[in-house]
Amino acid sequence: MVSPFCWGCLTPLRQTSRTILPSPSTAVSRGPAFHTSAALQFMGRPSQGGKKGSTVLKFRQPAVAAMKKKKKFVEKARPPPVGERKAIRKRIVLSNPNALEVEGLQELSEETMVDSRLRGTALALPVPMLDQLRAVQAFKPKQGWSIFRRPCTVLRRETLELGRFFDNVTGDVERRGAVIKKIVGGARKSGKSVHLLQAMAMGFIKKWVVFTIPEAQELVSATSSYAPLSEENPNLYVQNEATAALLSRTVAANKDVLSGLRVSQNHPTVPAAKPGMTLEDLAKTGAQDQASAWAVFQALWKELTATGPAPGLEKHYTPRPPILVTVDGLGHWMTESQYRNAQFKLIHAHDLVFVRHFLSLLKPGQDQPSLPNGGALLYATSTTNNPPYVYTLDVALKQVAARDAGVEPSSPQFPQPEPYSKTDPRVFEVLESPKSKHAQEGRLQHQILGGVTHDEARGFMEYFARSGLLQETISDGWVSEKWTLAGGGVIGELERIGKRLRVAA
Amino acid sequence: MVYILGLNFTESILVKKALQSFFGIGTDTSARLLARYHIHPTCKVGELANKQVLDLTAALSDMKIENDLRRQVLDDIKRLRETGTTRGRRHALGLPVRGQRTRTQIKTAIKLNRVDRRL
Amino acid sequence: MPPLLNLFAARTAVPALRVSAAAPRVSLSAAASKSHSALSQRRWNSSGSDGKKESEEAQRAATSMPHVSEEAAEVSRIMDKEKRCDGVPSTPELQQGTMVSEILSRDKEAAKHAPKVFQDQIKKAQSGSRSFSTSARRGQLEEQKPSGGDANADASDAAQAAMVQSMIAQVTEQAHAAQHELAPGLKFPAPETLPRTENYRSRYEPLLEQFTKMMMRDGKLGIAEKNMNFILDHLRSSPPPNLNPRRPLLPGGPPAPQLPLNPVKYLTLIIDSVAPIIKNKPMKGFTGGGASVPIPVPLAERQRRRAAIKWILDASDKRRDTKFAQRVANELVAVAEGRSGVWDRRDLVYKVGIQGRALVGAKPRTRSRI
Repeated sequence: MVSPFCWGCLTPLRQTSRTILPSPSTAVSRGPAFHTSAALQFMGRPSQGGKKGSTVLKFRQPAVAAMKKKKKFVEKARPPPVGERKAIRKRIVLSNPNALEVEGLQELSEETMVDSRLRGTALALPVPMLDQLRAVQAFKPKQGWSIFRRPCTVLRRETLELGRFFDNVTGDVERRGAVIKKIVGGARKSGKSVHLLQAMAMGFIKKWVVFTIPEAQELVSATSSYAPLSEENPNLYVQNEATAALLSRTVAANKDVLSGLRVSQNHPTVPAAKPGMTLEDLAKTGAQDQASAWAVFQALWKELTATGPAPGLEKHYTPRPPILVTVDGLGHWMTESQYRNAQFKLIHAHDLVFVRHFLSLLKPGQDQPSLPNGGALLYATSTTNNPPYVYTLDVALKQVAARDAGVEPSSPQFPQPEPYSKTDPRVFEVLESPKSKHAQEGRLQHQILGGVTHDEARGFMEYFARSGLLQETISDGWVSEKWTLAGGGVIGELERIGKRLRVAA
Repeated sequence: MVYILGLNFTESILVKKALQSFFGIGTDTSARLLARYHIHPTCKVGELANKQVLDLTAALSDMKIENDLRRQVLDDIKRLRETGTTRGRRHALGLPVRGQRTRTQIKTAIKLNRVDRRL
Repeated sequence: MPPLLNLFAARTAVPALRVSAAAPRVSLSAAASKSHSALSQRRWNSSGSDGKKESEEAQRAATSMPHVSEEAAEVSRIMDKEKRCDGVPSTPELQQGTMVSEILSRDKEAAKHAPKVFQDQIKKAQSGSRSFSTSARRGQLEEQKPSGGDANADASDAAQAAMVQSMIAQVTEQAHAAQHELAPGLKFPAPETLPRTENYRSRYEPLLEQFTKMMMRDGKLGIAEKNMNFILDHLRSSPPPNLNPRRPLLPGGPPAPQLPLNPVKYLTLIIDSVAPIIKNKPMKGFTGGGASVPIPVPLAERQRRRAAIKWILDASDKRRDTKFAQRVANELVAVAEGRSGVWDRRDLVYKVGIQGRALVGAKPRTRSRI
């Protein structure tokens, strides 16, 4: 306890008198213990304004005025106009005038695309075709076309096989009308999208009709309009905006082919389709009028898959060319879409008629092949852009490969999903394709793109060196070193090595 | 410019945002409204078809939003106060109503809760 | 075996090279020009045909026999160390076997009936061609040199076109050149020292690393690297710079049309050209009254580059392009073309430095205390 006396001078220390403190009883006596308005407490406060007295505090306003922060004036540049950043992000540059012109560079053509001697060399895409390829959005922004003089692709084994198929379907009488159906898979950067691009280029060379869906995700990400198909089918949804976009892509890219074909079927649902008009005009009406886009697309598809004219329209009929359909990023079509139905439930991607149409082509046709005039379906999966849960697709693709290899679905070797795993039966159903009754129609295959061979890697690297981007002597030892570094010739990794910037030593 | 429920919206804003500008419609209600009339979430007001605009307006006019909703909320508070419940008292005192601590962080209650509560 | 002998020769050759490589740097400017001449020499060279290899070749030719002591050491190794378990000294043949190719080269009859693979190998080995070409490199180097940064550089477009043509030819030839220079019996070439950039810890050029890290904000190196890639791609694909004779780049670099082909070198040249060699340090005590006077202080290479990069980044902030990387890239090209304000900034530093150079080395006066 503290002594009440100062030990220095022995005077009594001043003690605070307890009476100074306000006694609780007096505070209570001012008013009732509980009050709803708190008016008395409010009045007991000293006024803040002093002499002025005019500034009356609001109820429960904090007594201490908040410090006003000084606003820093920062001069901000105006943000760029709307859409500019996205345009920069999506810009595709196909030429670098500084890169050296490669000597003796050959173009992709009818002869070179089947020439196995050219395997492993880079072939340039013909310049007039670039507009067509751009129209179908074959090039992707991050594929690195911008550092070369002109866009080139390597002729690898899979490309040659594809080229031979294209050649056969168009030229060979026996193989005319053949159909291949492939789901293109493979590791990251293994060249799946470029494989599709090569297929499109070959399609344009051979005068096929090319339908492409460059981003499958765009159809299910709920960024374009949708509506119920009709009163009878309230659970099916049509996407007119996306269909019109597909039609306009197709018209822009296949102008030459479509303008040579004429309407030779009856289309009661499409009043705009008059017998004798070119298919180009037909497709254009759909591209311009979104409301009728889906009907027009169906009419166009009916025309292109026709094997003969409707009665009375014989004079307009010419044989239809084969069709190439490519889809990139198939995984997004194998789950629920982001669209919602009227009950606020997610709509399954297979309930969108657009998606349903292109997936139904994978099944063998009933009366005639799904592409009666021949053609190819190349649907590529993606490894970088996938919906969160595509386990079912993984299993279904294994099943496709097993079925193709001749394993019976009843046998124990047939791949099955893990027990208790959550799977989507609709995915299994859509990818289950039994052998077709028609000889020309191939079975659904799962093609896995692996690494390129040493020779192809060497050709690819030589192309870099000749463009002046790689300043090394290309030798077998060097190539096989890089081949190994690129995970066994994964072509995207090889490209990364090829354009790696270093000053030697 | 598009009129939804008598209000004018510029064409460049999202339908979702336009709906949420009404008192009483939040993210969930607006998303459900959009789904009911098959409008995708990134749709802009300018892209709406005439029928869709009419549908939305009809749906909104059936709902209890804006002033009706405000009046109802105020009535509810008033009822609480008049029946002498604790909640009503807290509303009138300008204190938090739902059992929060009052030692700190009651700015919102100070700002909003008062005898003649406004919305 | 002949390859063994060659290896010995190479071992003797290496010290001579090391001496020249490790020559001390005399002065800053000399060092700079030296590094550039080294760069320009390397420009045409690929790993297979650089100067080191050629000198090695020469050495190999000069001393085809090993030194006496080395031979003695080798003999003793064979006789003493490599005994078999029963104590009988073995020969290399017994120890390692004989190369089939050697037997085939001795025995013509056997060679005829040898498997096709062997026959092909022998044929290949006979048609020895080098991975490098010895043709007329020197002439080109001399051709580049005078066009350092003067008005000569853009004198004639025709000459440039011819040069680009020769570049194409060169590169094509390089790509064609097959590597069969391995001596028979060797599966792989002799190991070289790895370039610095092959180590994953130092995989980027020092300048690139410095630039990238100076662009980094909030410790986000990945974003900075993405920006760096954009800048290098821009340098690679933008049209070659129109050099301004009043603002020359450092001499010794490649001529302007060739710059975009090697963006790293392009960037290095830009930064080194605009980098100041001094900074002015304000120091007190040289004049009365305690006022500070700027005294020029020399900068090391990394410091100089840092100053230049900082200036460039500052100047790029004033541009109006949408992307940060785009702004920096445009500023870099502006520096190369002599349009940038960075040059003026350097001139100002030099001007102040010249004013204060009388005081370099002088000791500040200290006030005497009583």
